[in-house]
Amino acid sequence: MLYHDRSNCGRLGSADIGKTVHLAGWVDALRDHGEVLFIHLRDQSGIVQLVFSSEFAPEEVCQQSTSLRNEYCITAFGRIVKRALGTENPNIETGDIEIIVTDMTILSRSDTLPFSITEKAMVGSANEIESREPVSEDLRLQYRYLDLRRPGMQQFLIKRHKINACIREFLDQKEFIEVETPILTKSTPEGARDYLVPSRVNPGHFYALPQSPQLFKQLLMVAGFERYYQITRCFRDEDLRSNRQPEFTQLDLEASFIDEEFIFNLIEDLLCRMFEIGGTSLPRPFPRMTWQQAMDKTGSDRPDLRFEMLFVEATDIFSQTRYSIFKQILQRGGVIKGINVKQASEGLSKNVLQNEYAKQIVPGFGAKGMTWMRVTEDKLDSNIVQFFNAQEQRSIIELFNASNGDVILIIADASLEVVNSALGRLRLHVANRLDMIPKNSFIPVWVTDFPLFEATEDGVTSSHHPFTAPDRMDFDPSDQEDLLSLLSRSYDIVINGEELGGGSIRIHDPSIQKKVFTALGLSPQEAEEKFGFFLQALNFGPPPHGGLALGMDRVVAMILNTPSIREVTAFPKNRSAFCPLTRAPSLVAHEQLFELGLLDLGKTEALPGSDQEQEIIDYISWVSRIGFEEDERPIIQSALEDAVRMAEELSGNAREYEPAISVFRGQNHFRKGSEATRSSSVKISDLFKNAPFVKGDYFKVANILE
Amino acid sequence: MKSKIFTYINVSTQPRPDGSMAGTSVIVESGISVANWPGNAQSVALENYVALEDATLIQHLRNAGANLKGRTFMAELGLGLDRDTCGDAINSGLSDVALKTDTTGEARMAATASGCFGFKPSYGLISRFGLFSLIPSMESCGIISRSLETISKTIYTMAGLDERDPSMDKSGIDRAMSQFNHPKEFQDCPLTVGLVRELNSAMGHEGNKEFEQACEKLGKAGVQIKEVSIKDFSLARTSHNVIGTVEASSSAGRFDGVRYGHRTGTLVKNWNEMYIKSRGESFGPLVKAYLFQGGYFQYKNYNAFLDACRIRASLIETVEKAFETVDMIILPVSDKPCATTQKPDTVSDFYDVFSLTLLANLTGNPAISIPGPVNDGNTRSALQLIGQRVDDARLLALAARISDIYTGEMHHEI
Repeated sequence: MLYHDRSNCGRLGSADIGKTVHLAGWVDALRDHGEVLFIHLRDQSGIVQLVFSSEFAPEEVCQQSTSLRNEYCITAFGRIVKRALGTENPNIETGDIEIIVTDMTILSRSDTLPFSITEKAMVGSANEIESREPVSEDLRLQYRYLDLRRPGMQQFLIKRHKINACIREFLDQKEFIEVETPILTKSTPEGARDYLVPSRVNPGHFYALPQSPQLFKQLLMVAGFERYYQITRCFRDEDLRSNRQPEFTQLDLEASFIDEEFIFNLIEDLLCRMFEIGGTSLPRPFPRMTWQQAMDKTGSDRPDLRFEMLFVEATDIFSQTRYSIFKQILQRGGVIKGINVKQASEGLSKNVLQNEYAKQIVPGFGAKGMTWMRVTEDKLDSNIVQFFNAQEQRSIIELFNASNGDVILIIADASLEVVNSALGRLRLHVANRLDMIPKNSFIPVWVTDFPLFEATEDGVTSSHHPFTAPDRMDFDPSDQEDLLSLLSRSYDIVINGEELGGGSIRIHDPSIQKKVFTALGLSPQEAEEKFGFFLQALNFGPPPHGGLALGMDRVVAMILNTPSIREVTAFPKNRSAFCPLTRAPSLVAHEQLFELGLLDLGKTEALPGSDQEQEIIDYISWVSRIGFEEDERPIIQSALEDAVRMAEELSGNAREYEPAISVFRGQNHFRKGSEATRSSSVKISDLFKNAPFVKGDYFKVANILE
Repeated sequence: MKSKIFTYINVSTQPRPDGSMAGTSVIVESGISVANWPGNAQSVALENYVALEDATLIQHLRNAGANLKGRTFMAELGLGLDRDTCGDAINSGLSDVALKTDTTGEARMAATASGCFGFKPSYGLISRFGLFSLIPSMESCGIISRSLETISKTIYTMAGLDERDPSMDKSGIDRAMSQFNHPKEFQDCPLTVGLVRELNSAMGHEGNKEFEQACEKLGKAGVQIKEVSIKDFSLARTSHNVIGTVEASSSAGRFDGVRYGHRTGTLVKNWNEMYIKSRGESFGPLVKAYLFQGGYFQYKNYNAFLDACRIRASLIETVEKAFETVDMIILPVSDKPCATTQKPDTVSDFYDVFSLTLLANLTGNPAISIPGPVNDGNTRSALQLIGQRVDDARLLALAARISDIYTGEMHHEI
């Protein structure tokens, strides 16, 4: 079969009427009218309707067409005709025409599909197929190649390709060159956990998969490539979150002889072009906030600025207050801050404010409580308003710029961090609940001037990474207070409260770099061991440089407005970091571990990933979630030995019988009635009577993750 | 004062004065839900648990005017008879009937130890809704009483289709109920009992003298004794052990310390640790070992479970076939004289005790233990009869006749 004369289904149109075409693709949908069979033929370009009728096609073709099923791969010849008036299908681009088939060959057949692929209705009167059965994500991932056949999914990957192409074209214009850096690299235990790769040639030694090409790109600057970029895969072995993949793609770039303004300009220009592909134009220049401002105003270092509701500092107006809770907090040097939720008194009833927010939601955010006030008839209305004098009440209304219908929410605590964090989460919670976040709105912001270090139990740690340049060089690495006062020359790009990327101007002076390592508590020997190669490079005339990395999965998901990054990833892992398609990760053979020298590594400890793993008793204790004490071990151990013996005893007997799981053949039982109804047998409140721990209307349990 | 027999004595509700069960007192083991009664099934896993509603069978008894007296001691989650006192309660005249879940033979064995009749009804006749089932596919609500008449009345009251138990035998129930209404049919017919050919090899070389004597006695009284073959009889115990542990491991999954039961008091880092610690503290040694075996078959050797189910299928079929030639199958309750119930240390010890009663649980047939004479050393021998599935009324009627011959006493007609 030759395909040189093949046309694309989706590109045919009225202009082609009368032509004879050769098409190939998949059967998207079928409609059998007895005499006439209609099918939707789909290729990557789109869908066109084929018509099989004995009037035009030879009998064997018509005969064959009756065996067609969804997703058969076929090729066909036919004549393009205009559809009869009233039979046009506006659901597809080629809805005005159809192909009268004269010849057809089945190229390959498809098994029954695990889920429906078609997205386009065959008749004009039906809307697009919206009520498709929701398919479980694991099933979609298991048959990802079928999931990806769906035009919607294809568009995501095609658009992602266009975004990548746009990046490459733009950066090429700006004279950036793409350089590949290694995937097998050195483990640096800072930051997230590394994925390790054992080396067979150097037994007992490991490569790490890169968490980012940070040091390599800085070495490229030392090497004299003034502008570098790479669209590259990075790996982090982090705990599971819904929107996180163990491997992800970064746009990584770095340039020499530049400052922050260069990066801001470059990235704003680039992001505008990328968002343009999704049909969104971003307003330039992007606003900027220092980290301090962002924390003071939104309680978050990735502020969502699609709505206002900025924090108001109210500590001062309560300096003389009689209200004992505020008074005590102020005596302990605390702060009082609040937000004004404009025109929200309808959505936030007294009951909601007191019983939901003050009693449950805000304590869940880590604050002890919340004070609320509604503004009605130019007065404050609240359960505690009587504790505030007229002057205080006037000040509150004034300070919060409040008018009738507004609701003021205030959080007070001895710790500024607690107030900022809880009020920040409250701000988002209220905005979501009251639907105050405009749809299809994209508000970018640069967050700058992060603290260089954060305090830890035994010193400080880098807020970004240890190669970020500080705002001044005269710091004393042994003075913690001095260290914590340092700001960094770093910047994050945030859109709609999501951090899409970040970067910094780097340290290029080896003495400053050493001082930072000292501040982080690394001895010169340790620094040498971990970063010796890099410190040495800084001794050979490094240029001043800086850069940034964008999380491409997140950016693309945002541009294409998909619910998760898995939708814009061809073959993602599921939420358990497992690939249902290939069933990775998997156990490996004993021999493989032996060859890699991994058998002796753990000595007597459990060998994760080995199929001859820990003792059965510990495995069963884990999978059954039943702990045991050491003194119980012998009796359980012997029970398990009995179990092994019993399994052997039964093996091979009664082969001719089907396993019986019940004494008589079970029947399916259906509940009466078609609607789900709440059981009348027990009241919900009664269910809590037996609960060991209850919080509000919920059973209380331990954290899911540590 | 703490009772040595009762864990809970009901003083709050009065039974209704009319109804078929009026005047009959019933004790209910704590694995069967009674609204507002404590029901911890004697396990830490259910500590402080108070049932919110009645099991369906309790509802039936209540409606029929039964006097629900309270709860007696039982083994943890009903596995075996460790600490069990329901027999003592009947013996001391404290109750007419004791209800006890029978998954391995517990009701029949407890009855034997205390000189009562113990009956395990056919699977699927009595609703299991409200039972704390550890082994759902084998459990029946067992009935212990001195009187076969009372047993018969109690079953008839409790049985019946219940929408809340999807495992009921829809077609069998009607047949079973109609038999209860015509008990006379079984009074004079000739009797044929089946002796299991494989019994002696399963019990070792010695055999059981008392059992042989009892069979002789029956033969002399005109009962026809016929040999029947149950091919995989010797594998029944292992099959029950494998299936029972797997179902138990699965059923016990609900004891997670979230909605009810025990939550560990130690500080835990996360959810998993909460489960592991809470559940580790929840189960006693026998139950825990049992659950670990189930975990092994579920997670490490599922084929063993399938093999066990094949043997179960074979047993169901061959037992069914045996009833083509005999009216009932006769077995000892135990291969040893039934002494006071000893605390089993291991799962294997536990199965040693129940090796001959568990067949009826595997196959779902009705079975009854008939108390025999007291031997030297204060032990008691007993006979066990297994009837055809759903023919519970018939088995009870025939058991009365066998019992008369066996013990030489006259029982009341049913």
